[in-house]
Amino acid sequence: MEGGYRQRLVKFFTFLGGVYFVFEFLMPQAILKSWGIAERHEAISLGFVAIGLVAFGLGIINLFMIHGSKIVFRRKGWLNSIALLTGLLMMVTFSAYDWRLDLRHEINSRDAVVVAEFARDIVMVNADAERRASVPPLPVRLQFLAESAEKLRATTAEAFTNEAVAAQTRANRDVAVAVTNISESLNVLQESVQRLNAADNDEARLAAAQAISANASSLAFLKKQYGRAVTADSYGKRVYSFLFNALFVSLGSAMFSLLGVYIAAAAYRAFRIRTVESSLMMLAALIVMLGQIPFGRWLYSELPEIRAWLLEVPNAAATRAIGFGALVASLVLAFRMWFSIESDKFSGDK
Amino acid sequence: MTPDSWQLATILVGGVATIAIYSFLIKENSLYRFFEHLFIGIAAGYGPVYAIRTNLWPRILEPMLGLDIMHFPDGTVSHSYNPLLMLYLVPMLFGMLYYFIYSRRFSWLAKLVIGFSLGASAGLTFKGFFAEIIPQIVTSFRPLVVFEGENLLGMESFSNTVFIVTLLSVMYYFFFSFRVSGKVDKGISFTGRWLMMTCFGAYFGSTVMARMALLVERLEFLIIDWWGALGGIINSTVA
Repeated sequence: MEGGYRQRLVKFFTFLGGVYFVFEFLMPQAILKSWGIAERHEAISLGFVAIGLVAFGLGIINLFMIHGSKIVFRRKGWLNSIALLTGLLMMVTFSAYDWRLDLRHEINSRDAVVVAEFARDIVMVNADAERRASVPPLPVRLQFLAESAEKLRATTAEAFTNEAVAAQTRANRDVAVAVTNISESLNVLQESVQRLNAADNDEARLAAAQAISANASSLAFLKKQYGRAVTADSYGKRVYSFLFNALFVSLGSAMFSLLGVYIAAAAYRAFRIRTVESSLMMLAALIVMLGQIPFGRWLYSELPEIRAWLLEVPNAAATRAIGFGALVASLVLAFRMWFSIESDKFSGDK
Repeated sequence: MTPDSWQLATILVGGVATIAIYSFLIKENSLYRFFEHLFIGIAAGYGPVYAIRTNLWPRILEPMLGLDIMHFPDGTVSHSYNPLLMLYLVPMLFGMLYYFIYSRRFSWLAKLVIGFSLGASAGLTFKGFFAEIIPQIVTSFRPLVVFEGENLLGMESFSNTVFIVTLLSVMYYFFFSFRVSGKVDKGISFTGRWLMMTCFGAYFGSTVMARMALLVERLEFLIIDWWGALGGIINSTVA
């Protein structure tokens, strides 16, 4: 009895999961707008994403359970399991470290981002009569903008002219480039502030505010670039780059290119079967492969065009036809899943 | 370690890792299995942090905690806090039910969220089916004879005819997969099969070229970067 109740509950939740997207598609836009669903659709969809995102730990827990037990009981391949778990822990640690560094660069450039967004907000709010009523008058806001932009320029200039930065500049070429760019960006920002202070009408003032927004955005980007250049030599960043480039990229590329060799070997066996179908397949494959390399053009100059036609016309049409079949099948499967017809075992208690 | 020695280590280890994977071409061996496990570990470690960094934090947690709100110098804010964002806690807590899969007693709770996710993916498939298939059907109806003013565009007409014939014959072969007996049925079915094989050949060619591009890049790395670095070390040791 208890099992039946749980089974019904699982089926109900399965049905509930699909209701939103089906009705969001079937309902007319006018009704969705009047119910406020249209404007919240992205947030609701993100809610569905959030369900899956919190499950990221499942994979890690599973790996630890399987390979942890192999290591503890010294089962066959336990050394490989040590490699797997060590790689996992190191990558989690140093990816998190890299993220922390990025967050620090964002915090350090926050003052420039605030000025950029403030300037942008002034221009946007000024064009919106409804929002204009809820903020201070334009001259007051522009005065604040001029002061904050000038303060940003002065504090940044002071921060980048001390001895520590000079030493970093001497030691690292990327830091030197970033500092030079920042110094140039500060000069441009100063010019924009002067233009704002000297402007005698609102149109000119708003144009200057727009320029300040662009200058401050660029300054924020350069400050982040400086932060990255300074921390590029840190131990954690080096280890992260090593793990990423020496192992993640190298092993990934090698694995995928290895499959190329096996595909070619399998194709050789398939092409040896002398039928019309296999000959057609080989001919199409040859045209596509030769049409992509200079040797093919050397053999026959029109080959790249024939390849493009083959991909765009018969291949696109056949892909579309196969796609229609696959989509109809996926729709049937989706309905079976939605109404819990697909698997009674899944919705069962065991 | 100096920056140069880090770079050298990256090249040397990258080369050893590549050779270890290619050693599988001779036969499966312990070096290959070691690096295969290492790759799985590193990829599994990179994925979750990347998902949190690019999705969970900036799209959900940061707005929910109000950390994306900017306080402007004039006392205004970039946007006001929306308390409804706290509702994200509901799907997140619901998603936590996944972890009950490890409990013997409460594993049925995980089935609720698995079922819900399956239902959501079914709903998305339903929506995606119509959003994807209808525009494709509409654009598939191409004119068989194309004119530009008074002139007949031969190549375009030929291409459109080939497109329609391919589409219909492959669909015929795909949908009516029962035994065909009539001459016309057989003819259409054969044409469909041949055109489908042409399509698979084109796919095959594209896939092989993509993989070969990776292979060439790896071989280039091994011959130029790795061998160069190794040669440098050997020379300096001998000298």
